[in-house]
Amino acid sequence: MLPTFSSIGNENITWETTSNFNAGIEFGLFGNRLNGEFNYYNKKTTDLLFWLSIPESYGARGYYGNVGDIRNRGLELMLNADIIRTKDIRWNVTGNISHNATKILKLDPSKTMNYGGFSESNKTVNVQMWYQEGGPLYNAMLPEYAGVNESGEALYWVDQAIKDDPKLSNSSKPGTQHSYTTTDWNSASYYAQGSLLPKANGGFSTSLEIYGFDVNAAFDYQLGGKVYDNGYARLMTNVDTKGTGYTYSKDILNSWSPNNTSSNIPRFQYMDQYTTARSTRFLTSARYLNFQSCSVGYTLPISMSKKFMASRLRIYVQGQNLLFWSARKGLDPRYTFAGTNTTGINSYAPVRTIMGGVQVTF
Amino acid sequence: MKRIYSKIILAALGVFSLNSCIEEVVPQGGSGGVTLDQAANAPGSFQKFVDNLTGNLCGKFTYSGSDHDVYDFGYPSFFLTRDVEGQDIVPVGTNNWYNTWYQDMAHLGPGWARTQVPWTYYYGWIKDCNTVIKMAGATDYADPAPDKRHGAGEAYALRAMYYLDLCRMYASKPYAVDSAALTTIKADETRTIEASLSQERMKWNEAFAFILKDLDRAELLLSDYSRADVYTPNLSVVYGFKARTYLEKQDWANAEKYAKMAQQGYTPLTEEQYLSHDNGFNSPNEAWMFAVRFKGTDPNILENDGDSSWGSVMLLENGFDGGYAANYGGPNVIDRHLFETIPSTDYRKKCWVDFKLDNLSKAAAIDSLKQYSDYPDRVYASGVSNASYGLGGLSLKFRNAAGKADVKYDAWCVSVPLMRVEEMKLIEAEAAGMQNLERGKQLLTDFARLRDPQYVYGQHTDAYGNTKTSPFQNEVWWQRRVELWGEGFATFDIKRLNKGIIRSYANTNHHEGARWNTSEVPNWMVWCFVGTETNYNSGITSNPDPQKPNADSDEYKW
Repeated sequence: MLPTFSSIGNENITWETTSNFNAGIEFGLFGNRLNGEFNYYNKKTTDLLFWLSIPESYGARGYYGNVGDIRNRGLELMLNADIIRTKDIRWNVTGNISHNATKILKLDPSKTMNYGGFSESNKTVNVQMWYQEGGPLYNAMLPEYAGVNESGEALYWVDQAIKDDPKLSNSSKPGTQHSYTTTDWNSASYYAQGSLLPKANGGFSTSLEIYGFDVNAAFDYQLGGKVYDNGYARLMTNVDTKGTGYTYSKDILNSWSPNNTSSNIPRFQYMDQYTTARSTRFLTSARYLNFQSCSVGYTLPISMSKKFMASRLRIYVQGQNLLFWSARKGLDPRYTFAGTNTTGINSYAPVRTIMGGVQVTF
Repeated sequence: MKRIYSKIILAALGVFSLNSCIEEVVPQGGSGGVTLDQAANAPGSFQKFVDNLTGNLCGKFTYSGSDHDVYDFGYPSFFLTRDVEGQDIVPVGTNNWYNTWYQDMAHLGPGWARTQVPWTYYYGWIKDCNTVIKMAGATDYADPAPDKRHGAGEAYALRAMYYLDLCRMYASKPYAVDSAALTTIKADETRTIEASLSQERMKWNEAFAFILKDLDRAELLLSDYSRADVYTPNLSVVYGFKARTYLEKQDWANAEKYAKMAQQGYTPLTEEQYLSHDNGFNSPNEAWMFAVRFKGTDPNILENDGDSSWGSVMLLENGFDGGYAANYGGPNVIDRHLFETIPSTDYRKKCWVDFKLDNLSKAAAIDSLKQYSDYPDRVYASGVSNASYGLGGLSLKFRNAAGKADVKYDAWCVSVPLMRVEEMKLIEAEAAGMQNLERGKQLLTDFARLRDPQYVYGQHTDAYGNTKTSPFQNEVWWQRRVELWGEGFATFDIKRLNKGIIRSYANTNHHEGARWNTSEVPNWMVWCFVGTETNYNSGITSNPDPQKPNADSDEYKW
């Protein structure tokens, strides 16, 4: 046995405390044909337990401690309407939307004394986050892509004040000035991009019954928000070693070239180093619309089902995970708001299933 | 509208739950962990922490804790990450993990894992030394408890070794050029987290003072220590560290003195030992002063088919499917120019396959390989079929564990030297010659004749961009490059002597796209600090980001 201390303890650690405030209204109108729910919540966490990075020369990368106070505040609205309600036709529509916003209320002085805030890298997706009082959680900090130069090389923004200060690394604190651009990604400054969290998400569904036919459809969606598309970056990467190639996106066909100088995609050049370096170029809208499920059925009139000795007989077709729209085909931002990993997905894509059947009730 | 409002049914008016405190359990001290005091009071624990100092030097996936990275096998891996940055070791083939340090400077900037690897390793090891010093009651150079003297002595010796390495990796300029140049961060057993948040690097002079203070301490505490084997440092190793430190500091008198003291009890390798097909550079002998070893129980051997190990990346002769050097297309070979400057009468030349074999038919080449290896087919396959490279320069200096070339993965359970008496002889010669040239020439010639009976002084004078270095030092340097090839000195010497590198010349075996000649120390040898340091330490002055040359250089004419 070879013992070594793997982590640093913290004698001053204390309880994390969460205070919740919720208020809601449920309502029904027009004989309850339109009903719904509206909720507001305010959740404040004090002494948030958080990973506190320290300079790694200490022999450890950090420890757990109470970093400060944060607040989550949000709204949720659900509406349900029976638009048509007659003997032979019933049409119902339901929808919901929710919104959450985060705010850092207070940080431990040790985390703000150097730069007014602090950065933490997100290990799984390589997106660094910036934390400062008054700012949001999940505030991405990335080099900013500035298009291509006259030779088609990728350009990145530099904050000269940061670049010229030997005591600052390019990711010590976010840049504020866009002083000039560089092809040397390692010199690029990191800029805060704001919260990656979606503005809103929710779902809607509808059901229609008409003369024995029934149709149900359900969707879910997300509005706003951003995701770092590692998978796409991989698919757009040029060849930079003698190793064999990779899978590429067809978008590389639109790369900058002497005949295609208006393109914003850097040239696809062997040995170029920073063609797809981590930057806002791959920070992609996380909005999506998912056609989650649909079913279509027909229930035979009782007179006919009786011929089959059944009290009810319904035939139907139904499907799951039918269609998915996002900023890029193949990008699925549902599993994480921080980013996709380098294979482009964080789990296997949900299986699309389509099945049919006959329901017989005796 | 009024009607509508009047019909609103306030079915439920809010669910107020003001200040409902939810207290979550905070884990205290991690999962089942113990504190320093608890560990210090456990019976026999001190020796376990001491054993860890050397037991953790290799074999443990210390960087990532998992088998993701082939280069994550400990101290000897840094031999390669450093030395491929110059010219003496060429990481060839299509699947060589050391290629990043050789030519992919984009991934050596502050935001990359490869930049973090040395920082995590070295400062982790240093923390372990600090722990032992604290447990021994030796904080701030206090006298340790009598039964903990040897353990504390080992901790001081190793801490000095790490700091000398770190200074040589991170110093912004060689000591000879600027004695006030910044080196690395000082983290000793008295450092607090608060201090670490704003701390500047030591200057060379401060670093030397710190290193030598540790070594003085180690010398005192280990004066009566008799070690069980070559895998822990003893007094002679402390002398060796002192010799290295004074060499770097250009304190020639002390360098000579300690290099000479370090040699006591050791004898240089014989030709038979040097070229042994069974025991070549894989097990300790009378020449080895300090070493590490890979054991069958090490994660680096047990996991990932043993492929993340020194044996995997350096050895060509294993008879099972596996290994980057042998089978996956990633051997590490010698620079062609260095090889061709070795006279044929120097037996060390037989450590590397002659470039002439590339002109032979397969059958003739395999026949010729028999002089280098008992497994000529395997050596042929490693360079030609598996690496799509060729044969010239393939290294057979380091061998599989004796008699185990076919045994998975015992073949890679080898020892690797960290200090040999030959290095001390060369330090002694260089230091003597810098005080008195004739004395130095004599010592150098005496040493070189062990390897080449027909050695003549003055044949190896390549200046590599710095003609201010004396021809004598260039001659010693050449001996070091040949004698210590693959043992982690190449880049340290380039920086110490303020040399450039030459990879582009007629007949070169360096890669296209990396054939760079520089007239001074290449910027990527001044290692850049990882963001996990600079993002949280506002006091540290960063090194510039490494820059890759734009194009291959014109061929250098020797």
